[in-house]
Amino acid sequence: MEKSVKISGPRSDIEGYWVSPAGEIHLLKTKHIDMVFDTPELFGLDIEYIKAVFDRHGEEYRTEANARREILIMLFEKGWIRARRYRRPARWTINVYSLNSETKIILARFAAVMIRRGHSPYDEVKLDTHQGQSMVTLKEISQGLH
Amino acid sequence: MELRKYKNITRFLVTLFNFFKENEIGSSLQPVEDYDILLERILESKFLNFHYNPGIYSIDFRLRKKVEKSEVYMLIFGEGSSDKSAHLLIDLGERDLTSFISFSIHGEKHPPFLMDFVDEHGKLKIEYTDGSAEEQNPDGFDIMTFEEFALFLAEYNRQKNIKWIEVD
Repeated sequence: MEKSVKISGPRSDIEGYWVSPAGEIHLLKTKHIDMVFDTPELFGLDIEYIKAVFDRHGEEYRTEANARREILIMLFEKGWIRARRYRRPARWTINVYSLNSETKIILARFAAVMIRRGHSPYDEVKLDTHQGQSMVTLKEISQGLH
Repeated sequence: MELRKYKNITRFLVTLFNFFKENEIGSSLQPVEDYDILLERILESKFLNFHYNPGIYSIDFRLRKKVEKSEVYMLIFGEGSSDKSAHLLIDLGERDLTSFISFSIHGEKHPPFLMDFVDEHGKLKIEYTDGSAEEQNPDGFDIMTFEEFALFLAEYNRQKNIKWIEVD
């Protein structure tokens, strides 16, 4: 069901988001990999497949190591965007597979929502793509990253 | 220079705001209390800069009357039969911060207000982020006419929203 953005309510110091290829913003209360484990169908995955990746790496389920990395990279390739705001230093990291006109529009809407939620337009964001990393601000993202 | 002196930007925004009112397109973020007042605040502002990236066009300006608290509006609209959508983001910065509007559009043609940036030789000067620049004939640049823009809006006349989901 389509929902408008809720603006009210306290903002935690550490925030995590999954943004779907269609631009849906998912605010997480846990780790990114937990959401993949808890709602694999949302990501077009099967729980047995996810477990098999962890088993192949010999890692405990939900741990943040190589299996998680493999799964996250696969999701980025499918168009999912991961965003995390760290407290110290106060900075964002956004993982997006590639920057094209579609992902830039999705990111612009995401950044506008974050600004509206009370984050500074001048918050630093480390943009991590498969082509490399760059430092930008939320405002620059909301304007389409020129 | 006042934003309203750019006649194509003004016509573009007036067309867009009328479209919002006629089709009851609301903001997905802060609600717009009065479209006419908001438009007037933008048009009376001082134009600062224009830049674009394929798909997103942004105009920086400075409000004539400063605000103490920033205002952010996002109006998303699109086709009823698909997920295709466009948006107008309006960010009015507090105190001395600059404000901007940015318009996103999927498609190969540029919005009609780009004609305001055609120089006296009939060329559009494009400055790239690497410092290089070139001039292009606007005919080869594929800019929508206002008639084409009206047709585009007629197809994109449905309210769209940002989908926001809190995960337990």
